[in-house]
Amino acid sequence: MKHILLLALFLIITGVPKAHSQSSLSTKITVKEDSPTVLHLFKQIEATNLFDLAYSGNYVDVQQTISIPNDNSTVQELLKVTNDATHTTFRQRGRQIMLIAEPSRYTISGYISDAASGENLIGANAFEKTSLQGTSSNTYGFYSLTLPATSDSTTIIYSYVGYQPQAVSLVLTQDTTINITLQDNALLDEVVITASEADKIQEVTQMSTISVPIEQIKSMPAFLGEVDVLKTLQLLPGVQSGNEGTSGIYVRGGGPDQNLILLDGVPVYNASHLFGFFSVFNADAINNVQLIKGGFPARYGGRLSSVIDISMKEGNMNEFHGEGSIGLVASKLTLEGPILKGKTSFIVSGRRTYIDLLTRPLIRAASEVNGTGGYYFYDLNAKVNHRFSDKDRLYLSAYLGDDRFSAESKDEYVEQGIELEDSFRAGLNWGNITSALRWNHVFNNKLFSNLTLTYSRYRFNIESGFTFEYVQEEEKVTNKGDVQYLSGIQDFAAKLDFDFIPSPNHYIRYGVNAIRHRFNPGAFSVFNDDADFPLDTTLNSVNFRANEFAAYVEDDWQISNRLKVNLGLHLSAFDVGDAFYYSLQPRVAARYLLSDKFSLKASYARMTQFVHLLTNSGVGLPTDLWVPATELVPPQQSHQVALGAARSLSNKYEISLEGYYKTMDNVIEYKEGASFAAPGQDWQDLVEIGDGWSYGTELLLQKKVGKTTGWLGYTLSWTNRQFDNLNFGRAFPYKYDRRHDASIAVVHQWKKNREFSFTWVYGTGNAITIPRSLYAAQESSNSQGFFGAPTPNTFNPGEVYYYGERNSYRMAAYHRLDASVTFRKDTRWGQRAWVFAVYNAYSRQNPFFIYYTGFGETSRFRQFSLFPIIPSVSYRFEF
Amino acid sequence: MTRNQLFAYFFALIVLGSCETVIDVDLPVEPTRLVVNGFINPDSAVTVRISKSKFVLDRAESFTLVEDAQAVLFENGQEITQLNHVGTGLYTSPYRPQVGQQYTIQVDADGLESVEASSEIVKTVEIARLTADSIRRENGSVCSNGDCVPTFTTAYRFQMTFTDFEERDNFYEVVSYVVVRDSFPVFDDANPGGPIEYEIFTERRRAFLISDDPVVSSSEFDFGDGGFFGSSLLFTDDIFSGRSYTLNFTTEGAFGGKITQLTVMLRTLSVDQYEYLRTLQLQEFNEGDPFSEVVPVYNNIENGFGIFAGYSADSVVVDID
Repeated sequence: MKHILLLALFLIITGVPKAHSQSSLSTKITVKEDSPTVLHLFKQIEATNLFDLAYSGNYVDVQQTISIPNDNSTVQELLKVTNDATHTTFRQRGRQIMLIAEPSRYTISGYISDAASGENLIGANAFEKTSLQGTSSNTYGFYSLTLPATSDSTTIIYSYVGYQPQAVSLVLTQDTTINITLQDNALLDEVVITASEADKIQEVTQMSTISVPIEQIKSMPAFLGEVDVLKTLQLLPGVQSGNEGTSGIYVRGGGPDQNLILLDGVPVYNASHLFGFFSVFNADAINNVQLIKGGFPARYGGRLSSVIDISMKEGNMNEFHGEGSIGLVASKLTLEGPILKGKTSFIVSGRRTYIDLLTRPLIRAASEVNGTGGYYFYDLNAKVNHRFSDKDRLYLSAYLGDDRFSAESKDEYVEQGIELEDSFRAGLNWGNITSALRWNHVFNNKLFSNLTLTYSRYRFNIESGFTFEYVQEEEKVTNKGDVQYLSGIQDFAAKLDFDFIPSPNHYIRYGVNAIRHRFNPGAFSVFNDDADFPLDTTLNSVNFRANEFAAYVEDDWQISNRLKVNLGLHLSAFDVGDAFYYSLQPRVAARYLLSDKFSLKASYARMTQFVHLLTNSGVGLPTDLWVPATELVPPQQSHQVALGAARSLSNKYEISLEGYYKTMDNVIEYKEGASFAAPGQDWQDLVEIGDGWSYGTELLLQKKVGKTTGWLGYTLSWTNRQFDNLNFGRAFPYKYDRRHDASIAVVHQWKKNREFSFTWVYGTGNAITIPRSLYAAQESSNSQGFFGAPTPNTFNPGEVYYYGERNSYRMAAYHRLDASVTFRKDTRWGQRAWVFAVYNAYSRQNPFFIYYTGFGETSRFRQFSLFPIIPSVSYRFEF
Repeated sequence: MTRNQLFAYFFALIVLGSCETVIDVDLPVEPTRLVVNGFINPDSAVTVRISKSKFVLDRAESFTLVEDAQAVLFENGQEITQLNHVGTGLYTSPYRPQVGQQYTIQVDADGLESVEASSEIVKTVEIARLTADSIRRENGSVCSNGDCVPTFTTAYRFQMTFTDFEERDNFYEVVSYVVVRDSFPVFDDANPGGPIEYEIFTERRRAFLISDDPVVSSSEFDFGDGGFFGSSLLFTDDIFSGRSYTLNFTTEGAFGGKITQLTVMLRTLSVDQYEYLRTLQLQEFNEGDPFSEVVPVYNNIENGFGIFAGYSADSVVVDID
């Protein structure tokens, strides 16, 4: 008995043979310190002589301190606490405890889309509830969130403005794919409005960026029944319209060619119909619109002043739907639906005006020469997309649009018993085609890629032709002639973009793209089959081929809880003829959270633009020419610094204040007196190169949720230009130097099916040049015919106008109120709405242009105003 | 239809509902200034016309001449002569300026700010050779009872050779005058039905010139419709600097009457005259076009308006039989 006890004691003291038994983890140890280092803790565990601890210094930092839960803990508890702190787990074999590094993070990724239609939700948020670590979905709805593994459950919240947030709880033990669909608030009977934490404006690093929900755009009062995306953007601070009614965009003192307007990633050169009274974007087919005025992320390049990134809808994946409207001036129809439910969908959207049908009889009645004329425009968007799997998706899209104006006159008469007819026709047309093929490929749950191939073409032409018939030797002879002026630009492009999201602290984007441009700034052809003087020539202005390349890398880096920085570099190069230009453009934007409601932002961006728009400073005509930078005309460059603050007020309002300073180099203007690059003339000889600079502050108060939504914006700004050969080399205000620019846009839902909206805009008048004095011209210089050499005793000179400083006169201020009211009703097939709108509700005569006329007694300035009050009605339907 | 007409038509179409009003423009009244106009050259007496400028909204129907000004001419900084008023704002002096010299004019008048301007008489580029031939050009037809007969006009075609100076930028104007013998009918009220006699007179008229020579058509004055604005040809030496050049040009249009003498003149202009003529023609061309940018006309009169410029000329007279 004594021997057995001794043996047992011996065995206990020397320890249990390792292969067959384990030291108990429930052994309790009293730890000497409250927060020992890992090294000390392990020493104390080993001091029990029950365990041998093994670990690698590579993944365990022995100096790291561990907080001990209580004085007397089991070894198991101590090991757990150590694991949590060092991201390890342990394995036990007998006495030996090994600490193993475990994959510390797992990735949740997938797509966020609209529950009803399956459309990608762009910029939707996905964040972890407790730590608030999160990310947002990209243009294709893809998101990737990498989080540390915990043995408890983790809750991810998905949210997007205008949609019901959704929460998903899971225990994160492996990489997971979660595809989420969110419910549109508008479709719910009872809506709980919560602007979730991550939607707040102050969170977004990207400053100078405004995202307007498409539903808000569609609720704005429409011009002649047509809701317009670009017109709505003109209502935001920092963005100005040029002339009355036109959709030219002037951002922070920049010109109308300095905006990168992207339609599904393809740049659009001329985004207007009818001189800019309408834009080419059909609001029914749009998913998302984002405007960036400064602090441009590195993935964008090629224009100085703004990026307008428009994503079109892809087509409802689940059900067939349509919507459309019939208005006074134009009608449109959109059809979308699945081809293979859940896998393939299409959307087709078209719009056409019928002004020509309305005006044709009026013109015929008014015309003396049996003339007729008309104008119409149309747009067509067609897209199809297919989901091969969660990893691959293909999109094919095309846009076609054209404006056509024509005039004709005919004269029939009889001569010598033979019937003759003279006819004359003139036409003007311009339009775009853009097409894109895109392939999304998900390499792994952290790396998303997109390959885009595009073709786009913009052209305009003016044509006039005639037919004369006459009698010669008792026979009818026909003489036909034709003059055509054609100008255009054609692009072939390829882009490869990657989104790499290794952790919530870094969102890395990088990519390359190449564009092959072909510029044709003006070709002129004349044809005339006259027997005596036949003519068939084509005079080309020089045809430019140019290649543009760009590469970029950027990182959205969360440095600390408060500080987030977007750092990027954009490198671009341009190769045209003998000239080669390149530009290295650093981009930095930072956001610092002062509190969870208030943030400060700062940014710097350098931009380069390799194309110019030669525009006549009068009205934005389709005769505006796109020309490339060449050896003689260098690319435009800008530097922009911006500083701002953003704050959320009571979860509903967002207010931001931003100041900027921007310099622009190598901007171009036509030489004094030149108004049009005539065919045969080289445009390079007609331009002056100069500089511009602008600065100002913008205030924006926005409400995105609730029954009443909208915004209030105010901009105070200055913008000037200086050209050595214009205005005697002195600086002058840019034509669109608008000192004050204010706008209010409000949409109010007053009953379930009644909506009311109004917009009011105010702007200081444009800066123009008008004559100040007249004086006599030197007489012998006048173009004389051949009669009348100048005689000294008669004083009958021509007049010379003296204008003073360029752009030194301001037209009267521009202000206008538009309003609309919508009555919706559910029908058995869908929904219909009557929309009554009024443009320029108090019929202010806003100056369009001013000109001087007369002499002496009759001398006066006349002002031309374009639109008085214009009511309109349209019928909208959805099914 | 010119493109501007096309746009006008287009605009008319869409602005059916638009309004045009006369507005009150709040403009500060511009002070009246002296206007001095004169081209001086070695072949004629120095003559300038002096008038007053007019505020743009001034109701006066014409420009006011200045008849009480003091005008003094300086040659290379030395006072040379006073100009005397000879009527209708014309001030002249028998002095003839000389090639290669700088001239300054100073004008004072009561109640107006004094003005001053300078220019030079440029070294003459001589016409080395001029050939002329006449061509008949069909310019229409006259029809009666279906019977049509073409009508012709005589045009003159020239080739002029000259050599440019290398050491400076040169500006040229080619001008042509004709002397015509013409008649006009005299009617007597007492004798209705045809003219009783024709009165014959001789008159000097300026010829309208056109050219498709690259030196001219590449300049800013070719507005693309094949024509050329202005009755003279204006060009610079950019293309042929320092070299000899032969310019081709023709007269355009009908002269009326019989031409007895034809003069072709090659003027070597000061930069002041060239810039003035260039900008004035541009301003006139764009008048009425609301889409073009305004053109400030070149003005070398300090504190005033107008042009004081020098040129020298060489001419060749062609006798027509």
